[in-house]
Amino acid sequence: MSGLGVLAVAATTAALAYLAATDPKRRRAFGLAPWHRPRHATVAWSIALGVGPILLAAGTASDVVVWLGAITVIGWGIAAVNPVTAGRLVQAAERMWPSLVGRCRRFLPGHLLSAAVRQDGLDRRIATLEQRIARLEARLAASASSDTRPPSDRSIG
Amino acid sequence: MVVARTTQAQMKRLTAVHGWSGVVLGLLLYVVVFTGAVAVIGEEIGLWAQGGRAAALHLRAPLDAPVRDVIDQVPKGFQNEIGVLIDGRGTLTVYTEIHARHPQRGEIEAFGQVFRLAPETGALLSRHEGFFADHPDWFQVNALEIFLVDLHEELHVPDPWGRILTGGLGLLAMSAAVSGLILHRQLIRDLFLAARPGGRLSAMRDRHLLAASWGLPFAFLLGFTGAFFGFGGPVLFPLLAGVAFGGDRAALVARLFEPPAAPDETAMPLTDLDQVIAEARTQAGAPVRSLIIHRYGRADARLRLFHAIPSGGLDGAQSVFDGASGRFLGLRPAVGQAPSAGATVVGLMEPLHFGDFAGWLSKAVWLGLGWAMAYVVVSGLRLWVRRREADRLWRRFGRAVTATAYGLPVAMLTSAYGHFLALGADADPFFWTPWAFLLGIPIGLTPALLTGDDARSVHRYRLLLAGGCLLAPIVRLGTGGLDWAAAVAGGQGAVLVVDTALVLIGVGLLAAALRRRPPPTTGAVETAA
Repeated sequence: MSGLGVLAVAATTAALAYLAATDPKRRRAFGLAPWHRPRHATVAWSIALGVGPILLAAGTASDVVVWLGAITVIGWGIAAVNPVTAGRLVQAAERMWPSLVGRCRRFLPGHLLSAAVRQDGLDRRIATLEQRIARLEARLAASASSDTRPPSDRSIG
Repeated sequence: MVVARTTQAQMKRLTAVHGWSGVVLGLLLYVVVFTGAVAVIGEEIGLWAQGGRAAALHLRAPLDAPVRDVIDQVPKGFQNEIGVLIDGRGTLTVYTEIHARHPQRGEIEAFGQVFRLAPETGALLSRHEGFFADHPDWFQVNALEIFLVDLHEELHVPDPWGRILTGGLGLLAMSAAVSGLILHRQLIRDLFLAARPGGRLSAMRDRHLLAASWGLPFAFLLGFTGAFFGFGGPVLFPLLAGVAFGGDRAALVARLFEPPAAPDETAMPLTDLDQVIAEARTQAGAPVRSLIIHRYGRADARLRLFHAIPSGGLDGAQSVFDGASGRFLGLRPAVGQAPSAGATVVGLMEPLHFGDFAGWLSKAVWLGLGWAMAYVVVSGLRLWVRRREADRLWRRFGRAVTATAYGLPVAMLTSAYGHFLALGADADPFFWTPWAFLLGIPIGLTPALLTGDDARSVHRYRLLLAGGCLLAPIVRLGTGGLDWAAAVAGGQGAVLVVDTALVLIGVGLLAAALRRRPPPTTGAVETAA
C-alpha cells in the first residue's frame, strides 16, 4: 500500500474514533453525559468517507480497495470497544507512555477515564448478580429433583 | 393505516426469511466463511507447513532449452496445449493437457504428462502421466493448503454438487445481507452502539447488529463473488455453452480464453521462450508466473503469458505472442478478445474474493473481513437460540451451534497435525491430512456433547483450542519442520509469522478460558438439555 493509502486509512480511523466517542446513542447507552461541545458530525463523516475519492484520483486501485476493507474492519473494532474498555486502554497507555498521553489528554474526551471507573463498578455488580442467579437456579434444580414427597406433605419453609 | 399494516406484515415475513434461512443453512455458511477466511492465508499456511519456498516463483531464463527437450519427448497428439510454470518449491513444471473421459468417474477431465525439472540445470526430476485430478501432488506441493482451500470451495462434497452448494451459500449470504439491511431501520444511528454489558438478550443483539452493520458491504461482495465462483463451472459455463455455442464447450473456451489465429498446420519451430518472457515482462510491467503454448510446432502457434499482479494493481495481466515469429500481439482481458465491461467485472472477481492483490496487507484485511462475517453468522444463530431457549429442541440446536463454531477450528488443527505426522513418518500427506480432519470432527464435538451447559462447553473448547494452537509449532518442529534460525536465514517469514500467530492465539484463548471460568455447580447432576 502506498503512503497515501496509509494516510487515508489513518485519517478515516481518526474520524471514526471521533464519531464513536461523541455518538449520542452510544453515550446514552453507557450512562455518559451528552457530548457538551459541538459535534461536527458532518465534517467527521466527510473526512471519513471523502478520502476515498481522493485516493481513487491520486492513488492506485489496490489502495482504494484495501482502504475500503480496512475501514470496515477498523470501524467495527472501534465501535465494538465500549467506552469502559476504551477508558481502560487509555489508562494503560498512560501508564506506558505518560508524557505522550499527557500531551494528548486535552484532545481525549474526559469521559474515557471517569466512565471506566463508574462502569467498571456496574459491570462487576451485573456479573455478580448473574452468578448468584445461576447458583440459585442450580440449587432449585437440585432441590426439585431430591424432593420426592407428595405435594400435600410439603410445607413452606 | 393499510400501508403501515402491510409494511408490518412484510417486515415480519422478512424477519422470518432472514432468521429461518440463517437457521437452516447457517452452520454450513459458517463453515464456508470460516474456512474462506483461513484460505485467504492458505499460501502462507502452506509455506509454514512445508518449511518455506524458493525465493522467486517467476519464470526466468534460461528455460527455453529444457522445455523444448521435454516437449520433443511428448507425442504429437499431446502438443496442442502445453503449460509451463514454477511451483511453490521453485521447480520448473512442464505439463501437456488434453481432455479425456475418466474410466471410473465417466467425466471428461484433464489428462496428460507432467515433467518436473530443476530450474538451474533443467535436469528431469520426475515424470508422470495420468488424470490431473487424481494426483494433486504433481502440481501442488502442500497437502494442507490444498485441503483447506478445497474444504472452503466444495466442502469436500463431490463435484459438481460441492461447488453448487457453496454457490448457493454465497447467494444466502447476499440475501441475508439485503434482508438484514431492510430490517435494521436504525442502521446508521446504531453504527457506533457497542454491546451493552451483561449477558442479556439485548447485548447479544447489539453484538450481532454491530458486526453485521459494519460488514454489510463486504458480506454482499464476498457472497456475490463466492456465488460466481461456485456456480461458474457447474452451472454458468454449461449454460453459456448450450445457449451460445450449441453445447460445444471447446468452442466456448476457444472464444472466451484463447487468442484467435487463422488455422495453419505448416510445421514451424517455436520462437525462443526466453526472449518472449523478457519482452513480456517489459510490455506488462510485471514478471511472468506461467505460460501456455497453443499448437506447438505449427505456424499458427500462440503463447499466452500470465503475469504477477503489479504493485498497486488488482489483477495480473495476460500477454499474447505469436508462437512462430515471437511477435507481441497485445495484452488480453480476463475473458474475450477485447476489453469490455464484462471482462473488467470478471477480472475483478478474483482479487475481490481472494484479497491477495496487495500481499500481506490485503490478506490481513480480508482475514479480518472473513472473521467478521463468521462472527455475524454465529452471533445471529446464538441470538435466535437465545430467544427460544425455553424450547428443548432449540437448546439442542444451540449446542450444535457451539459445537460447529468451535469444533471446526479444532478439526482444522487436527488436519495440520495429521499433515505434520505424515511428513515425519514419510507417509502420503495428501492421504492423511483429510483423514486427520475426519478424526478431528469427533474430537471437536466432544466438549459440546459432554455437557448441556453452554458456558462450560465454551470453556472446554477454549482450553482445547489453546492447547492445539500452542502445541502445533512444537509438532511441526518435532516432525522435521524448518526451525526459526533456518527460517530467518532463509528469509522464510511465513514460518515465523504463523508460528507466532498460533502461540499468540493459544495464549489469548488460555487467558480467556482462565478469566471467564463458568460458575461451579452445587453438586447437581449436569443433565444434557
